[in-house]
Amino acid sequence: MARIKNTIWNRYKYKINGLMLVLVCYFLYQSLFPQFPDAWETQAVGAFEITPMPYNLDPPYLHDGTYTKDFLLLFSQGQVNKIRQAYLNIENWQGQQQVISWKLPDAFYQSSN
Amino acid sequence: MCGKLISIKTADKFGHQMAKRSNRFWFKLHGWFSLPVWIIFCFVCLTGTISVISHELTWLTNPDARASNPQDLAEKPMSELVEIVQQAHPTANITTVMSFESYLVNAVIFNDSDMPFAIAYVNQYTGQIQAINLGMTFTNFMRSLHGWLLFPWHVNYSVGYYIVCFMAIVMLGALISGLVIYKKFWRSFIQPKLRINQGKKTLLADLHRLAGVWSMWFLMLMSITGLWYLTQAILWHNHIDLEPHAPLIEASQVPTSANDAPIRPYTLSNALQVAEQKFPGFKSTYIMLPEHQRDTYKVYGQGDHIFYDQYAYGVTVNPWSGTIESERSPAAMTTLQTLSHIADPLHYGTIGGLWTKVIWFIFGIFLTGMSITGFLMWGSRTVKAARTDLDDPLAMHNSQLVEQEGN
Repeated sequence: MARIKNTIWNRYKYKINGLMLVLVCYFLYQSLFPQFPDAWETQAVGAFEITPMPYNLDPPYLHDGTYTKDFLLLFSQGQVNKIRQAYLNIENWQGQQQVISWKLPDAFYQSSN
Repeated sequence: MCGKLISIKTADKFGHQMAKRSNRFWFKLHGWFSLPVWIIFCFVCLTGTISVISHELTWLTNPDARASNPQDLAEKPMSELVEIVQQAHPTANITTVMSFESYLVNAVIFNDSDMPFAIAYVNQYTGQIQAINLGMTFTNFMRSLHGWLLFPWHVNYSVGYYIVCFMAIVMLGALISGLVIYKKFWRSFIQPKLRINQGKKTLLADLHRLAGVWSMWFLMLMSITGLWYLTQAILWHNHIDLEPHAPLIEASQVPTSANDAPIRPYTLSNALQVAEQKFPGFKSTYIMLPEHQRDTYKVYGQGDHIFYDQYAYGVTVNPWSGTIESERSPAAMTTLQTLSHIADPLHYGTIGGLWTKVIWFIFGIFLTGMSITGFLMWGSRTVKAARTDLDDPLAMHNSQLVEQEGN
């Protein structure tokens, strides 16, 4: 036996969880129209011209024991398959290495504080 | 003698009251497990049920996804499908190839200067590119909706994934408490009762009980695999990898060249041969091409183990030396790795092909329906009864108590 009062709360309390489905719609919209941070300045390194864009402004994450940050690199000059290996420095197939760096945008410092 | 009779009667009454109280407790517990989240639970069950047959729905609704084979041709190896796509899109960077059921095309995933993400639907028998998909597939959408409610992933965790995994606890709790309340539940197997002419309440109760008892095995299976997914989510969240990452080739192994980029001496075709030699009966289902010069060919597939998923066997092959850098097979798996490879076929119903998918789909509908009938039962027994009490002052005077199940 259970006492129950006919209140708004009692009538709707078990329907509140359905509101979470609104979030599902919101996340669907977000995934259909993603927004990314601004791209950094374009720089030339050797035969390559690169424009990096971070995927987000979050701090690096741990991946396979290494702190990792994802970037999209747009190559406006030079072919990717001409790169033997690269860590924001580039080595071509002749063993020549060039180093490149970007000044971190202020937004990075703000998000990490 | 008389005193003894009285004491037996008192004990009997006391025992009856205790049983009633205990039953009431289990009944409340059953409601607490299910009612506060019943809409999300229903949504997860419904999307899961559709996901089970998502490949078949794709086949039915999208002719480009069908791998027709009227001439009964042999299946082409994935390396040949890669060559076909590369010829059709010379500037494409092909990253992944996936195969599914024999009646669905293979997916060759690539990016190109004008396509940041594309999936070529390649008929594995004829070699024809039947379509280029630039967006999300129905299967991926349904599985993302079911798996994490489209909540974003924060690298190694998603709140949505946790919410869905939490449903395993809800399901297990509802199953156990339901069986405790429903005395002699096994009668539903030998004397199934569905009274359709005795009112809505009786019909709902019969449907709920009948579906619950017949779905017991399914509820148990979904709960256990769901609890495994929860464990897996916690492990991911804590950076505990179930399987080691594919090793990176030593920089010294990558040759230098006086001219252009050297061509990798070992091709994808060689990597597939290595996998086939290593595991007799191997069928490739998922391959990844090297992302960069120090990366490997990753070739995964299925073997003769019915309980393991389609990625249980695999090798990573060095494209410069042709050697196996790492390998995976059921025989060499740890307990956690084994669990991760046997959970999906049991959860998705792919274990026995199309027939088990149909069974999983039917019981998925039962589960979805049970969350609805459960809520409707609560509604008809409590809220509506309370409304009647307010409408009828005499009834309110007589009793403010609303009778519930089992009392």
